[in-house]
Amino acid sequence: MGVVNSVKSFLYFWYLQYTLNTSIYMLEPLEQFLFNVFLVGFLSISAYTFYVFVPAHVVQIYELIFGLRQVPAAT
Amino acid sequence: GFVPLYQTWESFYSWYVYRRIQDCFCRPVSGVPGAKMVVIDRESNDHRWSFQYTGGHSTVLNFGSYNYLGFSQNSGPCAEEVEQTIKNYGVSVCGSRQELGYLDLHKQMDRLVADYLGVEDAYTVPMGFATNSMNIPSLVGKGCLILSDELNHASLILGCRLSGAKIKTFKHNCMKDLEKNLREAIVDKQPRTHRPWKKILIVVEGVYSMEGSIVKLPEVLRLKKKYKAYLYLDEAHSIGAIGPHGKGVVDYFGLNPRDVDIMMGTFTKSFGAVGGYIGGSQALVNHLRLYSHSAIYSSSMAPGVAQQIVSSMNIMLGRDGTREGEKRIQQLKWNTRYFRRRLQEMGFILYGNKDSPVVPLLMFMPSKIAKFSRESLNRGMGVVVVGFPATPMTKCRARFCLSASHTKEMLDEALQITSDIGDLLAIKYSKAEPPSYSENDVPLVEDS
Repeated sequence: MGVVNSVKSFLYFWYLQYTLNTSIYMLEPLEQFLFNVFLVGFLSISAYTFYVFVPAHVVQIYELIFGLRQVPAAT
Repeated sequence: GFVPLYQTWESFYSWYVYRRIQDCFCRPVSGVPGAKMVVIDRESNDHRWSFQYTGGHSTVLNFGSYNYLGFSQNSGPCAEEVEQTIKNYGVSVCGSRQELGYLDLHKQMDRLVADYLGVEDAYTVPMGFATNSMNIPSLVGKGCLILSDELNHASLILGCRLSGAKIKTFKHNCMKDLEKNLREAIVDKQPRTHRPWKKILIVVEGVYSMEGSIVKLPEVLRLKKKYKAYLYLDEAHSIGAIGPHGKGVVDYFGLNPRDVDIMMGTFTKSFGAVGGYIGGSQALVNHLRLYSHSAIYSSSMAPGVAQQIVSSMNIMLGRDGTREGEKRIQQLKWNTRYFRRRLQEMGFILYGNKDSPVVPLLMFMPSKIAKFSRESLNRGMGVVVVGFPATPMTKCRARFCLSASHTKEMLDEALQITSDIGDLLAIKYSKAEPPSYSENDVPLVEDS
């Protein structure tokens, strides 16, 4: 029970810090919900883009700088 | 085209920021706001567009009233004398100063204010705001220059604008900027004609109410004498609250009150009354009695209020035979040092001088002041929180006004509440070193 309470107060503290510092503390509950949905959606789409494209980019840059090709490929 | 229906920035601020945290401002109180006050509970069902009373009252610690010496009481020697005076003189004077409104009570009050300040004579006005805004126009006019601090109160700004003189602001409490402006004014003179200015008036406040800073009076006096300007000192928050004998910022620095040309102050903060005064040389007060707007057009001070001022000043001067006045001054000083030291040790960012009883605690965002205000009301402490437009948008703060009627237990309770809320909101930003002053060098007057 003590662990659950301390986890709850930990989450409450950090959610409070998030709402205070982004100033959505002052907004009505509907507006808070919409803002949170937008933020979570934006973060998930950017996470997906990161996952799909970044490894390919990193490999390409590595081969460009340290690789064995004389001329950079135009792909 | 047409005038736009709404102003972009002001309407945005008032609809989308101020309206949403409106329950933190303008709270209804009932009864005497002394060391504790009674706040009437209200709730809002439609996101602060309107409020309903729940029917409950909460008694909270009062850190919002300007009650520096604790004269905000409805019992005690002041209240009894006021009751007697109202029975003798009635409730109102019903006349202006120059027409049947000058009672012997007003003469006694003017004399007492002059004795308290150490000046030749004084003139009182029944409204503190009007003391500034209606009397500066009768002292300076077109062809004069006013150098006013950039953080001056609205009443001073209004008075300066009404007078028609040219106004230049200098950086807050910055004596180098003031000297630079004085030198430029004397060399360049009036803008188009290059004739010399008729008068140069420096307008400063004793203690600034939003910052808690004390003006650097010895420097200002030195500059005033060097460049032959006049000084207007607004001691609204410092009279009674600062200085070893409670006589204001001139007393605090140990200077001669005859050096300051115009000493203005109000009775609202330390003496539990309303109204303001202007003290200075006999020639100045004679001129004001004839030419001031408030002497001609506004009714003079009500007898009950005048008696409250007389009673409280007699207590402060010690003329009633007790050491009550001295006790209150020392208690306020002790409270100020103790409260400020403990808050700084906890790690809050405070503004202001270590001796000023106005303690602004910085929380830089509007949502944090809303949370602070609500939490502290729930836990039993009432504070004033300020945001835009009284302060810059990014420097919102909570302001504690200490009082001689706060006991050490009340201060400890308030400090505990503040510390708890500070941990919850994570506003203990300060990385400064711990304070070097303490309250131990303030001797308290014991009850005999």
